[in-house]
Amino acid sequence: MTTDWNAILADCQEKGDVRYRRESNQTHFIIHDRDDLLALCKSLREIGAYLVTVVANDERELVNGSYKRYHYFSHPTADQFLILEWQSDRADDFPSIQKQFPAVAAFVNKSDAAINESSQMMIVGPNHAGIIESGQFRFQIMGEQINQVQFRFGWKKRNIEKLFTTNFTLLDGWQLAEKVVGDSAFAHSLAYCRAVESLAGVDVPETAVYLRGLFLELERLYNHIRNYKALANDVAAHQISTELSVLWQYLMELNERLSGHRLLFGVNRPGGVTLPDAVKNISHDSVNRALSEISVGRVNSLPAFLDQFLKFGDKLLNSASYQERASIGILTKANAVRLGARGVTARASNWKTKEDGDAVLIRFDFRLNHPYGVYKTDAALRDKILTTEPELPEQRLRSHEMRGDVYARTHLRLLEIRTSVAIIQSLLTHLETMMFDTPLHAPVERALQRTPNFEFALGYAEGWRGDVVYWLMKDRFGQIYRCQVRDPSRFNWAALKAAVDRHQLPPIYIKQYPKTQNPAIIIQPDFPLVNQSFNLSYAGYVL
Amino acid sequence: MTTQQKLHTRDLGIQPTNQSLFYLHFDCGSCNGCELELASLTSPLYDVERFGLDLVVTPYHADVIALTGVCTPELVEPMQRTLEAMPDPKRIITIGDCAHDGGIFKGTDCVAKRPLAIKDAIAAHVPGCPPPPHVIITALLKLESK
Repeated sequence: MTTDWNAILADCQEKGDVRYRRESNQTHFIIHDRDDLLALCKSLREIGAYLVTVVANDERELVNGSYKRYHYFSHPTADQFLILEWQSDRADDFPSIQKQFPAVAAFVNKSDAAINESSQMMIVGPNHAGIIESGQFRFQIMGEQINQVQFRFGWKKRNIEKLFTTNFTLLDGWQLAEKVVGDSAFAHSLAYCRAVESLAGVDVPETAVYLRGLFLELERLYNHIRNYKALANDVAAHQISTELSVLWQYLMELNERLSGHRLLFGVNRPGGVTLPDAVKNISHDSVNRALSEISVGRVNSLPAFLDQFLKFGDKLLNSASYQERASIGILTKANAVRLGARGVTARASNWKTKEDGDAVLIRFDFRLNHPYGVYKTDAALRDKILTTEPELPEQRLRSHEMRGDVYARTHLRLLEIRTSVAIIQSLLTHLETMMFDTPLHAPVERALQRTPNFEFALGYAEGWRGDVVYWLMKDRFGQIYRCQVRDPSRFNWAALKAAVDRHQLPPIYIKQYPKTQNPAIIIQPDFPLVNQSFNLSYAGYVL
Repeated sequence: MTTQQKLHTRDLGIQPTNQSLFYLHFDCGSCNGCELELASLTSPLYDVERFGLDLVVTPYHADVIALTGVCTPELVEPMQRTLEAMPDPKRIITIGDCAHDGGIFKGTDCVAKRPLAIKDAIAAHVPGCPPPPHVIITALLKLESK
């Protein structure tokens, strides 16, 4: 696959001007011709590249400035980013790449085509029944069956990207970054800090790298367990749900003991991490002791915690009731690739089809595709992630189209929890030998002053929903000129729509069943279960 | 002692009461952090139902609205209509720094000017970003005994 990628790079060199590269894995070209850009996008699509993010920027105040658009592409098998830049004097003069990469539609805050008003509509929201964020779902229904769903999220707009430039500096922007999405605060602040570090060109101390890896996995762990608990609650498996919510609370308190905050706020800084003074070291011993204190002796170590979880997690997965109810909300592999789905959503739809043959399955995971931090230094960790292949019960494998449904996503979360605990164990072994009295963060301020103005950098991290990407540009005063935030939910809401809409059902279901008896058609009460299995962020979409 | 009984020993030193308070959650533009902590309340570690606190899903049944988030201009009207649907006395408890004065967003466009009806209804505030569950419970209980 690298030969294809290199062929495209050579093609870019021919058609555009190469620009200075900031990181070794990012190649930047300015493309001047509209047809060239579209042709490049087409060949990128053909080799299986995906869209990472698109940044539109007003750079008229720069020397020879204009409106600019940066398209970031990558390939699942190559640790490479390709940046295609487009310049124009007019704000509306941009070639649309939606034909080649339909995922780009998620960046255009345009409402969907209006649903036929003569059909029956059911509008839910913006306030929901329960403890959920505000947003509106508009269902077009026939009886109880859902034909189509639309999402409206404009209610929560907080002007995050503007606030970065007006109210924050490069050094304290992490404060806002962790309030973009509260439940993946660590992934967001990590992506922001990595962007600043890339701008400054500083290296993070080794201990801080390992601590960041640890907290990122802790965040993944508590969120997956929280999601599991909510799924159990949605199918009225109350015993499982209650037991898991206790385990979730243990993890929140463990977070507080290790980092000083239940949701891991305020740990990341550009250049490293800060820990509360009370935390002198983090080791197997201290984690096990903390868990044992928190749970009053019920769970004495991380492996015991995992056993406790698996007891209830397997119970849910193996119950006939759940297997039957969770066979809905199918996101086909074709749709997942087309819409650029991210994280667990994409991985659960990544089953093997006949066309794949013996080809190695591609994992859409930034920890593997673009290794950073601990995942770069430690190949054993990457192997641990690679073994998280979903293995489904045989009767489900036979009808392989079943993959990509609620069950597949639930199962994948269980496997990821297992992997996360293994990764945390291995990180703790490393941390035991490390010094905590040395400074945990490298000085960034000086290095930032040396960075030329109007430089930009990319920061990314694999959070529990998927990859979080920050794009930062420095202005002439050394502060933020533009900060673009790309949460995985940006793409995944379109994937949820594809899993719910009736006309996007997998072809085999349409062939096999008559229209009215199709088991994959979602009825109104099923929607919360499908929604919960994706577990997307509203705040990360509206910004 | 069984495991479940042990869990209950971690309570807040508050005696169960014979009063009750039904709370409704309304998100006015929060980051999902306060929602997480509100959802923690029903976990057996805290088990707020023994204090008479219960989450309801419609304003018709609510004694108090737990408001989270910065109160964005778009959500002022839905908030007002939710408040109108609520029986008297209308009470709001603001949860988290954002809901108090905008917190980190203070003074920016996304923090709307609140109508008098909402301002008057605010009965208590829980500070924190986000406030831990036991702080929320203590505040709700204070409101319950008023």
